[in-house]
Amino acid sequence: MSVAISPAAAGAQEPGLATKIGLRVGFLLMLAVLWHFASLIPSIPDYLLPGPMDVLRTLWSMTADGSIIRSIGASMARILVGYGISAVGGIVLGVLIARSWILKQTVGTLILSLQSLPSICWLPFALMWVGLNENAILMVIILGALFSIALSTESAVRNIPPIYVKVGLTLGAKRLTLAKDILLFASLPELIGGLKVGWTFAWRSLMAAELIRQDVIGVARLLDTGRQFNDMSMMMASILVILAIGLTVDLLVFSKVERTVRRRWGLER
Amino acid sequence: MKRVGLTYGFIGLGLLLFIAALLVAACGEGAQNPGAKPRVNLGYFPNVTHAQAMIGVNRGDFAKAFEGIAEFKPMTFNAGPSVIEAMFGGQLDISYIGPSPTLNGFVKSKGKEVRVIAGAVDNGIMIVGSKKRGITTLAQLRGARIATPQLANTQDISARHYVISELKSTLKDAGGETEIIPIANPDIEILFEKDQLDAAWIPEPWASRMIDKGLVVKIAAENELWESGYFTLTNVIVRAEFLEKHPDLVKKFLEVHVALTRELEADRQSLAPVLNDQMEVLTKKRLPDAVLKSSLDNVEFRVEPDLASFEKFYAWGRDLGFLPAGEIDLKALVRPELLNEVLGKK
Repeated sequence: MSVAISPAAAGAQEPGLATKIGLRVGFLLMLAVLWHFASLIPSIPDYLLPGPMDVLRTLWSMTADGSIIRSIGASMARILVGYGISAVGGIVLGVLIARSWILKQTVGTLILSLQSLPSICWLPFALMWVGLNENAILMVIILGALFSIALSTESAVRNIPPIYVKVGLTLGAKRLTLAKDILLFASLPELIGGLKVGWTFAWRSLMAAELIRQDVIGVARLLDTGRQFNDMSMMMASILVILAIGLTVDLLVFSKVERTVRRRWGLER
Repeated sequence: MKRVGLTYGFIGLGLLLFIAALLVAACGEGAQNPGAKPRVNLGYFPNVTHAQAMIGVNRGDFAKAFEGIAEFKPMTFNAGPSVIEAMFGGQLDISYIGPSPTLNGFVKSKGKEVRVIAGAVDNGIMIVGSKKRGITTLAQLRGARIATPQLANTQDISARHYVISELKSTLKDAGGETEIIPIANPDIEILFEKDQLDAAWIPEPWASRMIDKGLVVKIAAENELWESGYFTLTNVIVRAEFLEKHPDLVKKFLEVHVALTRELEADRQSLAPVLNDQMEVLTKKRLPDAVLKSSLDNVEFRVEPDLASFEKFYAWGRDLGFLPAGEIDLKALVRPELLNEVLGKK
């Protein structure tokens, strides 16, 4: 079903994969070298800016004692559940709002205002309402991602050319078929963009919640533990772990899915 | 070609930002204008356990002492690690703080940054048990869920040490039965209300407040567990460079600190309203009179720094893996010379 587009129409020639990877790695290495030299400046003591080798050593010892693996496991478990609920709930809510003007005026307005509130503001409420447990963090993740996904789903559904829906209805599609086979499919490329933004919100909410909650384990907890001990090397190692997770999910999951869908829909070569 | 140009543009931008960040970090020393009056930045917590600072700032004792010779600026903090951060960053000169973050700052800076110049407050840590769960003895702490206000803070270290060494129990992190969970003081109160805790190892005024609310009962005061009967809760630290450059200003501060401590020793309750005034200025709330009175009764005031407390907390912190192994000479940390001069003069 893919639609052929000539290379000229797609813009300038893309560099090869090897060039891209080489450029990225080279850039990161250059930053590391700069960092190394900066850490040698005598007026900046190593407890304020440890060198990359110090941070790598800390990273290694945190890996060897299992703390990184345990923390990544705990954080990923939280975000998978929280994000999963947000994605399903957000898509359903978004489709409903897009298809009903009453819901748009009522629930839609409420969601729009709630979306502007950083979800970490809910943590004090979560602690009081659901207590000091995993559910409090889950609540913060869901409140962080759900509304964003609902809003982008609504916009994705609204942007579907009306002709698709009309054709579906003419061919006798019922409500569920219409939602499942036409609305969902036609809005998929934009929907995935929304899910990606939702993931970012969920991840940021999780990091904020873990930074505040002292009684759990998680990758942001590693960062705060480093702070409690004034251990800059541990703090920087934790930041590297958080960055690595963010990058991995983006490159291995969202970018891939996004590209595949865009290709299948003929939006990209 | 355009794309490659853009990439180089981004690389250049990244480099510029990096260099700018370095410059900001390098200038963070807070270089003072040589002609200007020196600044004295004093750190403290809005808490009963930092009574000298609360009263001295509220009545203007410090401001008066530094009038004409230095610019005095009090700053409040919520936890020890942020005090040490500010001191490492050169933004804070003198501070009231607990022994555990003091040791951390000293050890992490390899003995370069932090010096203890005086003691301030002793004791004031209560071990409390849930009223709902009927926890009233120390032996019941074995296998219990015990809250402390912060990971690796002074109470957290004491509680962990007590569970391991005295109760001979293993901590849950190590696969054992007794759980120590660090939770902020206000959340500890919520958890007792929700019946999710057995006990807590907490400072005043939180202990008195939760007892006053009928949530917990006092099991023991931590100082009863110490052979000497007392230990340092709050001490005064100074940035090493500041001590070296401005011993006169540090001495001036110590004169006020000693006078305030003597006043508190003589009649602490008469100063309670001043302390509460400052509490209201900083937190917009006053402590209930009964809570403040009992909190003040549960602490002692002492200007002499107690090396023995530091040695104990250092050894415990190292045993628990919170401080790096190896020996560091704490004699370089505790520097009572200027205090002795002030006391000798009095």
